[in-house]
Amino acid sequence: MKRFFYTLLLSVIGTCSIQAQKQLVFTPTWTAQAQFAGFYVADALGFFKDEGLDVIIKHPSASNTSLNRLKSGESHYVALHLVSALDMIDKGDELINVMQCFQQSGEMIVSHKPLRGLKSLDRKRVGCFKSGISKLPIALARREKVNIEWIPFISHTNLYVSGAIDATLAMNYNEYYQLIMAGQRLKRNQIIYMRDIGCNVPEDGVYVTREYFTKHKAEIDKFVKASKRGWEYAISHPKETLDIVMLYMRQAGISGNEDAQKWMLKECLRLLVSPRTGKRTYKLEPEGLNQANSILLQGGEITKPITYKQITEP
Amino acid sequence: MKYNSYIKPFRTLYARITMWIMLTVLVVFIIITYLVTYFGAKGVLLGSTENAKSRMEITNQRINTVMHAVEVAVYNTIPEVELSLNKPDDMYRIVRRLLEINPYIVGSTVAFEPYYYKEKGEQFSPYAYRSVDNNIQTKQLGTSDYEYHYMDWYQIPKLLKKNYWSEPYYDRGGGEQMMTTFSHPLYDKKGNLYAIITADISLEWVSDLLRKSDIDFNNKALELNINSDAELQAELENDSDFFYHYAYSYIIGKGGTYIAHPMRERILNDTYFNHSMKYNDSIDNLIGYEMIDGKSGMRIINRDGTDFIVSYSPIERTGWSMATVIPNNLITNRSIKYATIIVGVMLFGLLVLFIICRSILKRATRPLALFAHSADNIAKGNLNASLPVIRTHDEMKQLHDSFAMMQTSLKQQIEELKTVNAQKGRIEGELKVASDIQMSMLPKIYPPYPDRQDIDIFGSLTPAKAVGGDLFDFYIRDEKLFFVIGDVSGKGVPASLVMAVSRTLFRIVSSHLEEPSGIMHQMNEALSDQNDSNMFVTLFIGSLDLRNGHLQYCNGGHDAPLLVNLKENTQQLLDCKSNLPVGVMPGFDFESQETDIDTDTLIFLYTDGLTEAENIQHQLFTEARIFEVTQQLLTDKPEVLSAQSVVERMARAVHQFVGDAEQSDDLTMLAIKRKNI
Repeated sequence: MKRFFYTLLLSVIGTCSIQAQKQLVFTPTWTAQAQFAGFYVADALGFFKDEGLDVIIKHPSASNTSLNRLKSGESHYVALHLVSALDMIDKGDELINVMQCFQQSGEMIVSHKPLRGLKSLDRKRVGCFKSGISKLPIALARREKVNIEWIPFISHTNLYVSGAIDATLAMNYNEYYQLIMAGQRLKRNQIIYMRDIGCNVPEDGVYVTREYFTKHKAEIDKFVKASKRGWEYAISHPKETLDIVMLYMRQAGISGNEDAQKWMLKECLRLLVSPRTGKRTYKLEPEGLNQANSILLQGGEITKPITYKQITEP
Repeated sequence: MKYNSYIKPFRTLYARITMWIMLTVLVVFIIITYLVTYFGAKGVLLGSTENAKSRMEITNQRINTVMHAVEVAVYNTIPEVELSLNKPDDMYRIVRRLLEINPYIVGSTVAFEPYYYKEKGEQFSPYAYRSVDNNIQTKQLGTSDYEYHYMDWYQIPKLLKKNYWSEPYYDRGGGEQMMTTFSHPLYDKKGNLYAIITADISLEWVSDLLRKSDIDFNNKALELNINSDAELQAELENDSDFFYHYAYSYIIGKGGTYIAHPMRERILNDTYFNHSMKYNDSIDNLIGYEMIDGKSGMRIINRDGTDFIVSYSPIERTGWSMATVIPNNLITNRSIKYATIIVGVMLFGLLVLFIICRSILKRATRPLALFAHSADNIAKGNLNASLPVIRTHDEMKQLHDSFAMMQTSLKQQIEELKTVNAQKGRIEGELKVASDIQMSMLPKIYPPYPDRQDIDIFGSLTPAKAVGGDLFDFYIRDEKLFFVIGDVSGKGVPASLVMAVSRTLFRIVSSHLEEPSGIMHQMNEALSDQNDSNMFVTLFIGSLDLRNGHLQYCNGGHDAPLLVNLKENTQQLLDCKSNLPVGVMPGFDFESQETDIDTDTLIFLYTDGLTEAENIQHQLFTEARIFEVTQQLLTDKPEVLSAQSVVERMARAVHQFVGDAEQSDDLTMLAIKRKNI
């Protein structure tokens, strides 16, 4: 802990004094929460500095998403859901995956009524994330010819609790926990995990522009190395990591619930492990990419498959 | 020693009675205390929960009044919106107007569907709000950072097609306060939704309302000393220990979010279930579920070993629910407080009762000790011992009178006893004289005829009382031994008189008659004459010619004598005719009998005092035992057997047989041995 506070102090001082060095901006997919714990740890404990990098974490807003920030050059590194990245690449953006954090899917469907597969949701209203990460279940439903009225949301809890929607997409580490905390008594038959219906695709990864990739390979390696170190540290020091996450949340002006963040951290750390190898490689695996490609293509969400080479080393 | 001194206080009657009264009262007192505490706790619980319920109803009404007013204000605005649909910019004026005439509404918008006005773009939502200085401002609500079409207040009423009160939220857009929004969907004539009209109200006052209500409840219903808002606030914000010592209320939304709670940091940040799931008590979660399901109830939960009573009921219109939590120990403490007062009063009463009881009983029973002292004195012989003075007219007075009467009666009886004793002594003296006279009538010098070698006589009479009714006598006249043995009916003095008369008659009559039957006849006539008392006597009279051993005899109802032949070592009863006892029938003809008595033959005469001597088992001595004794004497030394030894031996045998039994009849024996010269 001492080291952590010293580093924080140093980082504050460093921000003021080392202006000469080029500052790298990293933007996660959403506001501060334990989903990005590894990056906060790398920042807080000076792992980036150890690599000689001056990294600053800037969170996105609804109007200035991480992708927008990447395209505008405000951010050099952004975290993106693989499906979002594939969608963007399909639309012509040149994004390169430099690091794959979550090797598994944490996405799920939660319903008021018991479910017997995706078919139970036919002609139902299902809440989906307004961001692109819902494209995988949307494509899957289309492929399976299940007619769902998708209701995009920014916040799902009240929408679901009020009964305005029949079911909702949720992340196991976040929205699911919020529903439980909102007093929803969810039984196993009210839940479908995407991983259980052939959609255990990788999720959060770190992306840069093609231009940045070609020009700053050494920096990228250092960034990835420091980030991996941050995630590994989070695995071995979950309590300290939780403190760091809560600190970053307070700095970002978000009043987080510690229990919720504890749950999120635990679930997110689980997603780091590859379902195929059982290891944390932090690299995009071709099998995962192919699975995502296949579903999105069949569901009509992308026009052509994105090759492994295209997304990792163009 | 310790034990004795310990129980000593209970030796006195008044102490024991006091103790029993106190014990009885104590038992009743304990039962009453238990019942008072039990029902008191129930009453306090009922009162507190009823109070909590009514508080919740008041809060419910207050919130509903405000919300109803908001809804009415919004409904009243709708016609104006519909009339101004062709002039979209008029919407700013309309929402501003809504705020102007409804001061409790802090914001309002008419949020249109995407591209409803193509020239206004995707988002068009004229919004009026109150700025920090309370001026009403207007602006377009929807921005790229605030896409209202995805907001709860827009989406939910749109999808549900009905009014919606949003879950409370924190307004960071300027008001910096907790708010809720009422949304009403607007439809065109074809039934298509074209906009959502809203009104925002601040909810800060809800927390204040609840806090004031809590202070009031703690102060009045639970009698806890919370003097000021500030004090409670300090308790609420800094000390979670507060929850264990004060009652408090909270409100949660449909999704369990805290809308009002003593700990302000929980409001809108935490849900009920963030906390309830940390506790093991599943009731905790159940309460949350029932609250968000809109149910009312009262349940008891346990947190860290402390019981809490939770009453909850829904707040209409909103889907919110309010709960009041009362630590059970507050209820218990209150009932204990009441019970303590009652116990205190009862203990005081018990003490007073003890003092009064002890004093009254001590005074009432004090004469008893004095009576005991007097009784001791009387027992020691002081019949004039003084008695305690009794002024009351109760049982003690009766006891005093009885004592006095007893004292007087004792004195009289003792005087009488003295007289009787004196009389008895005189009678006893006279009886002794009589006994002496009676005994003097009997031959008492043995051997009676020391000069004569041919005859050996020994007689004995042991009266059962001072004087007896048996007699024997003998004397020699003209070489003839006249002898008699008799037994007067009855005992004591009457019998002794008849005995004296009979003996005297025998001496007189036999002095001039030879025949025993004649003697008996004369005696019978004399005794039966004017025999008013019906006394009679059995007699055996004999006349033994000492020269030849010829014996003439006559039996008047007496036992037959035993003849013991010492030479032949044989024994037999003398053949006797029974005849009647003397004195029964005048003129009776007594039959005479005769026989010869050989030398060395012993005539053993006796009264029924021998044969009918009784031992403790009421067995009689009987003739058979007489035979046994004489047989034994014969076996031992027949040649030296004297008249005296036979009588004494027989006396010993009968004493041995009788043992400790009281002598029931006079015992008389007479042995006459005709010796060989």
